[in-house]
Amino acid sequence: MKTMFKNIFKNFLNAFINYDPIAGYGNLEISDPKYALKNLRTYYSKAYAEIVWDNSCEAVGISEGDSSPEDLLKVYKHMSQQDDLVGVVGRSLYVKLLTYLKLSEKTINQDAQA
Amino acid sequence: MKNFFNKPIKRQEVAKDKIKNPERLEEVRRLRLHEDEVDEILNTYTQKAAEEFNLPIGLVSIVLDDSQYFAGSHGLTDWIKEVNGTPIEWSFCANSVKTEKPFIVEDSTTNDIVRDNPLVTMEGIRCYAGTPLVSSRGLIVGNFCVIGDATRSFSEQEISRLKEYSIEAMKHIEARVAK
Repeated sequence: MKTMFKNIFKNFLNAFINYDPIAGYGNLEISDPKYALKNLRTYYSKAYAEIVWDNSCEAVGISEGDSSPEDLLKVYKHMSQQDDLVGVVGRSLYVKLLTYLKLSEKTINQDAQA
Repeated sequence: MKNFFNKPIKRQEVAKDKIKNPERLEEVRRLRLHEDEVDEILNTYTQKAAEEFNLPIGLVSIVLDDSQYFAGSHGLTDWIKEVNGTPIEWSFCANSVKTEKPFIVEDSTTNDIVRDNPLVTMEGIRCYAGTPLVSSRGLIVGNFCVIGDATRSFSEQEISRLKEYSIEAMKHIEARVAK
């Protein structure tokens, strides 16, 4: 379990290094896995937060080699469906990541039109 | 999912933070306000309120730990409609969770709390009135609010009316869970 967490988490982290903050929107940053773990750890132990992460990745079929914002959205969506505080934290992460992605898309479209 | 130690910890550390307070967030969970469900009745309340106040937007906004999420809405467009929420840093409604009072903004460009908020600087919100959604257990889970793109004052009578909408919305939310 520990190895699985490390591998998937590291893979995810590497995938999200190059996402820039969104200028004009308070430099909103992408809610990457590190951020998700930090939020979960507000309420849970490190060990439990990692279990939540692993189980959510496994439940949506994410494995090593798969890592995109869409994958991450699926992980957060799965978390949001849990019937405990993980559900609330997951919904929060989902909203924040989707905000980032939609605003990125908007910014790119505006730049293309300019 | 194994849950042999599925108990939130650090409760005392975050209990003083009114937004992140686990008890408040568990109330959000109990009321199933973080779920995907589209609630047409809440949407109708927000539409009625927006029309009554002659403003374009009405919301039942649930304040989560790190975002706000709209359990009911009317008049949203563009990315906010697709996301159905915003990061907590931009949430006007979170102010009511912190103060336990209505939050009123007549001109966002001169209001110290929100004038640098991206929803003001980038999205054009100019006025806002929100009253707390208080659960049967006395916890504030969010706000019922109306929003506009022009400056506007809100009378005491109008704020009382908005409080009535908050109460109605909460009654519906509690009844939904009791079913």
